[in-house]
Amino acid sequence: MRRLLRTTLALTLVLTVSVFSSIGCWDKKELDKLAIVAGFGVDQVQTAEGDRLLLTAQIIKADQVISPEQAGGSGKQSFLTDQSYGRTVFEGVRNFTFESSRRLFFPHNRVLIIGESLARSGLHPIIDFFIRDPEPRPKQYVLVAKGKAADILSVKTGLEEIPALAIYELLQDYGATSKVYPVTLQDLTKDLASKTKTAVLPMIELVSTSKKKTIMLDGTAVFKSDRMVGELNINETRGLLWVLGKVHSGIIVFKLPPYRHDISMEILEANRQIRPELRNGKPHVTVVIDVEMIIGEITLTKNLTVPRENEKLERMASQGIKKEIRAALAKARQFNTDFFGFGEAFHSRRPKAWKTFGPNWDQIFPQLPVEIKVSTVIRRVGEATKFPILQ
Amino acid sequence: MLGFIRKILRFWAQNQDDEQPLSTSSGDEIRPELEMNLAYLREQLGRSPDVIIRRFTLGGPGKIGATLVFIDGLTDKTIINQDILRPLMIEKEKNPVKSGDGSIIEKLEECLVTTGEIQRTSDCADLIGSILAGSIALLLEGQREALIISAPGWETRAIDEPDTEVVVKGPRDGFAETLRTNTALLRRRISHPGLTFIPLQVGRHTKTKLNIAYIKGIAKDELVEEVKRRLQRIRTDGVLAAGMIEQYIEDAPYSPFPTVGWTERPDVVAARLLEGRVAIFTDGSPVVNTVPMLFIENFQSPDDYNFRPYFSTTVRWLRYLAFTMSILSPPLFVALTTYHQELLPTPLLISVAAAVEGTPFPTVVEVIGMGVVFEILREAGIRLPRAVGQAVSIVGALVIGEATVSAGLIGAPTVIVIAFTAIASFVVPYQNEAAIMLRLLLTILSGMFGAFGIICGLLLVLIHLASLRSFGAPYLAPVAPLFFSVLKDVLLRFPLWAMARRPKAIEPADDRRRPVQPPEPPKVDWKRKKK
Repeated sequence: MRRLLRTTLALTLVLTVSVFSSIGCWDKKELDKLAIVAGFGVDQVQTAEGDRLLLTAQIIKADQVISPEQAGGSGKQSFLTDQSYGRTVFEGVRNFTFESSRRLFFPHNRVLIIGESLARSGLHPIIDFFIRDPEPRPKQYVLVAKGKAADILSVKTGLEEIPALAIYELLQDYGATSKVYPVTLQDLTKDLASKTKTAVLPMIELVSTSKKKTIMLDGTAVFKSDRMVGELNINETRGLLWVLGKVHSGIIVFKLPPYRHDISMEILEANRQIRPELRNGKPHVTVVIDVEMIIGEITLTKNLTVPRENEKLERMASQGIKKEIRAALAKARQFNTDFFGFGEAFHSRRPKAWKTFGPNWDQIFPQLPVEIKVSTVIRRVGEATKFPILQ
Repeated sequence: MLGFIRKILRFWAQNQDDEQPLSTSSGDEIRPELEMNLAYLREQLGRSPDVIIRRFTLGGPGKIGATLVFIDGLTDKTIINQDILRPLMIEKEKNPVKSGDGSIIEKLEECLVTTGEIQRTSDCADLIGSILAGSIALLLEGQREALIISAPGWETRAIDEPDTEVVVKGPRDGFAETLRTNTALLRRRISHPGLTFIPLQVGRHTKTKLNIAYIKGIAKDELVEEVKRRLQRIRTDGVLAAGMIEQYIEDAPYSPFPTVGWTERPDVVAARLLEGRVAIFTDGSPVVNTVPMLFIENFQSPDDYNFRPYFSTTVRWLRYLAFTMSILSPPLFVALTTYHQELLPTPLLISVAAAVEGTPFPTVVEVIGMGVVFEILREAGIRLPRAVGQAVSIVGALVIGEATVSAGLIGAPTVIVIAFTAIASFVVPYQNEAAIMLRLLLTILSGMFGAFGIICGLLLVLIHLASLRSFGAPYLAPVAPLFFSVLKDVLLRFPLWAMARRPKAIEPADDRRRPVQPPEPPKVDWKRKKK
């Protein structure tokens, strides 16, 4: 019995010691050993060894964000831009350990920026790592940089401490104008997997004036398969958003003839329907858009808020919307890229017919007749019913 | 695991010597010779100065020698002088008792001694026991019996509001140290003839008086028998407080969770008896134990029933939350900051990372260290004299809280988490002993395995809790096993008039409490009244 007791005591001791010593576990990552990545950029560069990927990580310096004075002067930046090279993304990520004392930590990465030249040569080799690895989130935004991603990630922005988070906020608030199309990694993956729908990505550019550099969202990159083939400007981008049903709000400015003054209308709500039809056995698409609007600004001295004039305004607004959509459609036909997802609409709602012409969608799409029907309703006229100065 | 520990402890227990039976010479009879009795008493009681032996002669014819034996300080001197010595020495002359018609002792009991509680005995052990318990022994020359007159008169504490269980809208009285006072407090609350006390005595040397209290017709008979059986099994030198009784009768002595309830409040005891529980009063302790105990009791406060249901329900949920947080916040903090940083929102992660930047210890060590420091502070706060208490809080709050953070030894979030844990743990004070251990266990597990460790630890605890029984009642009842009708006092605190059933887990003899009877104010037609 005494031996039982002794073994028990020994066992307890061993267990206790091992418990306390094994607290440092293989999976453990202490917060102060991590480099929290907020933004990540990939570019293609020529080096002595040949083509290499240039990876740029924008790392949050947490203590600088919280108390910049304490950590040594407010002139210091609250982020750090670190770079590394590699033949593949993964190799490059590991190569960061040559110069960075901390491990890159990807779950908080908000934006993945891809250099334009790299986007034009193909996305697949780059985004596989971000889809396959468990750390990067599928909800991060993907953008294409006009120029190099590395340049964009090294610029300090206005109000936000971390530029990557600023870009994230810009994309989140796209609804104010509906002229930017934010795309998450998840959306991109879905588009790349689709047989007919082609991917689009928002574009970002570095604007340098003589005094300072800023970054700005500008237009949309259009892809054919995984290669970038062209761009949409911001108005064409809204044309795309109308068809995709992603318009939240935004301003439409137009002139009401015969006056020369501008009228601004705010989009209150927009609904769209895509009707894939077969006319005489041939595919035909009708896009129906219903918009509710508010009169936001009238810069002429005539009271337009009477029903008869309202109808005119509604008609003009509808025309403006149609123009945007037509512009986007023209680009789509030009690049032969179905980023509207018309092919998928046929696939899901006309499956039998799709089987016959689906494989030839590439030939059909540029000639696909698209009918656009827009109906606009003015819901409110604002608080000024008459032009104030006239009263 | 627990079984293993149990085996070890049992092995320890077996190695202890078996207890010898009581060695007082019971069976000795009182003899007719007074001097011999006195000599015997002196031998048994020793020559302690507080044992008073007062010889006197009974008044009236016969001049019979008599002696009072009592303990100074335990008896009421006024009663001795006014109601015992005075009638026996002086008034007996006016009202002489004729010898021959019955024993003198009987006559004294019937006609002369003017106190309430009196009894006769011929057994010496009984006599000594009564003297030590605070009674007065009256021995007479030539009698084979002695009178035991009860006249307790020791110093007692006044009935006070208990510090441990303060209520806002309830009675302010709490139990004191005297058994009789305590039972009286209960009797005053329950004037039903069914309220029964069963006296018991425990402790070879202390001879502590216990009373089992229950309400006949509500408490299950088997439960009362079981309590009695467990109490009678106690073999020990002494029981000094109710907390010691608990440990001799609980169902799961190796569990960190208590399975015997306790309170210092008469209203709580009354409420529990009315639910079919059994209470154990211990002389010399203001704490009264109640069994069976359910886990849910930890979260119930008398105020829950004194306030209206909405508020009570809210407060009760706050208590559930506080208990969970008091156990889970340190391990969750460790898991989130060392394993699952991706679960924190980015701004929060930045704040935490900034605070942790430059601190020398891993987060687990910080949390466990600060936890230990807090427990030390708490313990010091309890044990220290009141006057020094302020110094402790200053040292604790300023030095340990402020200085360690500003010196960069500990991250500020750790201090916040520990402080929050501390406050939360005071919301459910009954489970504090278990909570401390659980917190430590879960923190270590989360330091080793992250959230996975926490979940495993919680599952272990849950399985253990579900296996516990308290005097036959499943500990987690009425949640597991689910007694739907009694849930009215768990998730929501239903109106009192809607709680028609007594807790089923306790298996009361009669579980129907009252019919559901909402208040019915008379309906007044205001329109008609106006006319």
